[in-house]
This record gives sequence, structure tokens and C-alpha cells, in this order.
Amino acid sequence: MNGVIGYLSSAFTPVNLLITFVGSLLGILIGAIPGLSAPMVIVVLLPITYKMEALPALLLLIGIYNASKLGGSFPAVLLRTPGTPAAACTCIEGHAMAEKGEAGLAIGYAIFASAAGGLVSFLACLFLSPLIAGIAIKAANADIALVGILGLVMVCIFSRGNMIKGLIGVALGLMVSSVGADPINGAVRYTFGNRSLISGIPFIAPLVGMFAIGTVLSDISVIGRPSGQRTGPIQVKIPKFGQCIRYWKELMTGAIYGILIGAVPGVGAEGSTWLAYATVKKRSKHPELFGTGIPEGIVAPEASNNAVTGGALIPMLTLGIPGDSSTAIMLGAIMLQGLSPGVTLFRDSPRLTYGMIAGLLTSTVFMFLIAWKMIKPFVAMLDRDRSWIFPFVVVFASIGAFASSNTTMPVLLAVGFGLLAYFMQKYGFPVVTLVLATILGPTIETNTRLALLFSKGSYSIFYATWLRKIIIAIVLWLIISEMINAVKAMKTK
Amino acid sequence: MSKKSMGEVVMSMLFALVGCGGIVIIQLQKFDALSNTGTTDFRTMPTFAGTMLVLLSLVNGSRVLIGEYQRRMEAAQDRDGQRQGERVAEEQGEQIQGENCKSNNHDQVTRIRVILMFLLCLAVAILMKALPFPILVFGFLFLAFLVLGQKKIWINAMVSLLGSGLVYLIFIVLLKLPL
Repeated sequence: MNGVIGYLSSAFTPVNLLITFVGSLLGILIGAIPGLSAPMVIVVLLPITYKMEALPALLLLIGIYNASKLGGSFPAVLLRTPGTPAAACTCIEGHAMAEKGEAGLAIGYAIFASAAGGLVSFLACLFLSPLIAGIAIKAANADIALVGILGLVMVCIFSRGNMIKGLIGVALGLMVSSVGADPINGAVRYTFGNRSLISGIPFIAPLVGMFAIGTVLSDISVIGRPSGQRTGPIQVKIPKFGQCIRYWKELMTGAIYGILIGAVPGVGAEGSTWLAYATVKKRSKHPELFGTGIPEGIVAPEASNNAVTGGALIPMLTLGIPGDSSTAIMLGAIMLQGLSPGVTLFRDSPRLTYGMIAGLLTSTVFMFLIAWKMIKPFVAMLDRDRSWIFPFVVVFASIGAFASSNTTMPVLLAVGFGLLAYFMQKYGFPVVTLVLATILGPTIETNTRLALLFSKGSYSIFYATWLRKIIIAIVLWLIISEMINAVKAMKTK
Repeated sequence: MSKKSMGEVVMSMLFALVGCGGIVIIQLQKFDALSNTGTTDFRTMPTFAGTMLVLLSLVNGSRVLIGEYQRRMEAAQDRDGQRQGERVAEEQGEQIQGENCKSNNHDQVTRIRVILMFLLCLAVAILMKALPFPILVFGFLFLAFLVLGQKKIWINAMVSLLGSGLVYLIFIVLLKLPL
């Protein structure tokens, strides 16, 4: 217990607190500008973390990740344009309240609910992660491979667009992860004589390409378009504790959905906010008032939105499987620090893992204070022209790719991935499946092949235990139910 | 066929080609240094991924084509309704035409911006080692602002200069990255 408190306290040193504060400040700012996403900015800030120690680097990223969720609700309330996709749900009640002249109160409820959701998810992450890590450390190669496959299938099913497109992204990602020397025999694959590819495609290239350059190319179309309808001047009026506590049921519903759904790879906050909103509306004694601007409709999705962060960190820290795009990049940042994410991370680097969990708490507190006290500058940022920001995103991202190995190869690859991401987004192929498959590919391949080596080539090792049978059953059930849904949808058409 | 469907089919076909290429290359590759033991062969994963890519891309392409075909059939059946719709559209003709024209212009400008921005990114990647970093950043920022529609040259130049100075200060002076 003392050990855990010691590890947690590593996030409370003055330097780490300052870094988390800066991350939270940037996070709210980024979330408040429609078109800038947390994954994009986390990628952009990766080069800054190269010279930092592992924990401060990750605390900066966690601050951005956590606080951007709240920042997205400001334009949702004031402009009816969600700053992040997950804040779309907040538009309904938030903007309706703003139209009634209660914009400040709507933002106040969003701030309160986000902070409360963040705190609940911190507690969940703190207590569940060590338990799951304890089980995961005993896992065999076959278990890890199957969990990786389960993660990829879940990403495909829950990612936007249809499952086929998601699986195409996974197949592409697996091919990308196959480039270079194979993990068991050292056979060189798909390098076409290029020596710099022998160690594989540097994972920074797809991250920078897909989340920074690709997003910039895709979002060029929004330059010059008005953001939305701005409401009048606002003053944040934080609701009193008594007012907030009245909505504890909605808050807990949102937080629990956020944690559970955040822990499922690929679903992300978008799914959880809508689910929380729908559930609260269904349970409400006055569902007809939803849509007219009522606090319940803000509290549930906002709590859920921030609770996702803790949920998404659980599989990342314990299994090395990222819950969403931002945690995928954080996983990359862990690798850049020379650490190996996966089932051993909790055992080998407890200071880092518990420090990151404590970072959730500190960033939530900072997020609350910053949003409460400094709302005006963020509101002023809402309409900023993105044509001034995008070129800087490309510069920072290119520096990140270049400085990872001091060669231009990752930058060239990133530009290629950026173009691929542009076309994939244009035609509705989810890019997140490709990135996650690129990251999880080596883990799945290595563990599958090691398991087969130990079993002398017998595939029965993959269903030798009950846990493995259950994982296979879940994978099959997910695929079959998705196929049935697709057939039903076709018949309805 | 709509542009989006056409694009999706082309993308699917390209992915299928990539998958096919991947399978052919990995199957033709020889690796004699170590004996491969059947199921743990280095070819297994790429072959599986390639096959998955080919099959899924073909399924996706077919799905889009079938959807388009069905839409056409439905459109043919609703011809009367369509004519009625056309009449209404004619009445609002000028307004719709004006809106379409605006939208087309915006699309065209966006397309040109995307192409130019991509070329600029490519140029940065190629010239990263050839040019001194602050000069490269200044040039890129200046041109990128122009491409993205900032027409005031002096303001662009000032922001680019300040931006390259800031990048130099952060990454080279403070963080000492090898740029």
C-alpha cells in the first residue's frame, strides 16, 4: 500500500504538476477549437517529449487527452459545433440552454460533470488496473495473441463506418506491421532492398501521417467556412453543489458508461456519450423536456465523455491494447521512451503506470480550475482561423517524425500515410483501425508464432483453456452478430 | 455512378491490388538462413493479411456497385416522381444553380489546396536534410499560409519568420534535437 502511495506521489512533484497543468491548459484550448483533435495535438507534441523523462512526457499527454474532452463542449454549447466528435451530444441541450440565455450555466454543468466523471474514472483506473494487470501477467502467448485479435475485432465493429471497411484498415495495418525483419526468424519482408526498413516501418510514421498530416489535408475543406451560430457574451456560472448533487444518478450513469465503453478498444467517447444521453432520457420522468435545454442532458454525456479517459487507460496500461486513438499515440510515446508496453509494464515500471493514473486525477483538478477561472480566453479562441494553425501542425509533426531516428525516411513515410489517410477519410474507411493494427500487429504475430512453436504447430493451443474459448466465442459472436445486422439492414433497404 | 461511389470502388480495387502484390512478393521470397517450421513461417502473417485485404476489398467494391445498381433501378421505377421533382427544381432553378456553383467553386479550391499542401509536405520531407532547418520552416510556413488562403504577404512573412524562430528556439536551442 505504501509502495502504491509512493508511486502515485511521483505525479505530485512541482515539475510534474506544472507539466500536467500545461497539458490541461493546452487540452482545453485544443478541444475548444473545432477541427483540432486531441490525437492530432498529442502527435504534434511528441517531439517535445523526446528529451523528457517518461513520466513527465506522459503526464503532458494525459493532460491534453483529459482536458480536450471538456474543451470540446464549449463550442458545442456556444456555436452548436462540437469541438470534438464526442461533444456532439452536448450540442442538443447545451445550445438549447444557450439560446435561453443560460450559456454560462450550461458550461458550468459541463465543467462540473466532466470533473466528476474524470474523478470516478480515476478511481476505477486506480483500483481495476492492478487487478487486471495481476491476471494479465500470468497470461501465456496464446492468451495475449487472442486478446490482441479481440481488440482489433472490437475496433472494427465499433469504429465509424461499416465492419468491412474497418477490417480493410486492419488488414492494411497488419501488412504495414509485417514490413522489416520478422520477429522470430529474422527474415526480411517487404523492404525492397531498403536497409532503413529492416527494423520495420517506424510507428511514428503512421501516427504522424494518419493523425496530423492526414487530418490537415482532410480538414482543408473547412477553412473559410463559418463555425456556427455564436451566442451572446457569457459568464460561467458554476452551479452550486446542491444543484449538481441532484443529478447524481445521471452523473453516475454517464461515468459508468464512460469507463466501461472507454475500456473497449475503438469505441471511444462518441459511443458512450450518446448511450448515456439515451439512457438518461429513457429513464427520465419527463423525457419530453429533452431537447429543450435541461441540465440532465448535459451532465450525463459530459460525465461519460471524461470517464472514457480512465477506461481507455486500463487496457493500455495492463494489456498494451489502446482504448482509442489518443491512447494509441501514448502507447507509441511509451515505446519512444524505450519501455515496452504490454502485460509487463505494470510490473516493470510501477512508478510510470501509477504516476499516469495519478496524472488523471491532477489533470482533472487542473481542468476544472482552468475552465472555471479562465473561460473567457477559450471562448475567444472558438472562431480562430485554422489556416494559421494547420501549417504549424505539419511542421511540428514532421519534426516529430524526423527526430525519432534523425532520418528523412519516417517523414517521407508519414507524408505517404497522410495521403492514404486523406483518401481513406474521404471514402469512409476508418483510419484508427489501420493505426491500431500497425501497433498491435507485431504483438499478435510474435505471440501467435511463439504459441505455435511451443505447441509444435498445433492450433489446439488457442482453445486449450476456458479463457481462450470465451475470447474466441466473443470474437465469433461479434463478427456473426455484425454480419446478421448488416443482412437485416440490407433487407430493410 | 456518383463520384463518392466511384472513389470507393477505385480505393477498394487499389487495396485489392496491394493485397495481391503483397501475397505474390512474400510467396516468391526465399529465406534460407533458418529453416522455417510450417505454421511459424515468416510468410504466414503477411499472407493472411494480404488475403484478408484482397477478399474484403473485393466484397466492399461489389457492395458499392450492387448498391449503385439498386439505386439506379429504383430511380428508373420512380421516373414519374423524378420528373415531378425536376419540375419543382426548375421553379427554384436559379437559386439551386447559384448554390451548386458556390459549392463547386469551394470544392475546386479545396482540391487545389489539398494537392498543393501535399506537395509542400513532400517538399519538406525531401529537403529536410538539404536545407538549414529554420529556412525550410520559414519557406514552408510562408507558402502554406498562401495556399490556405492568407493573402496578405507581409503578415504571412512576419508570422512565418516568428514561427520559424519559435521552432528554432524550442527544438534546436532548448530541446537540442538533431535537426
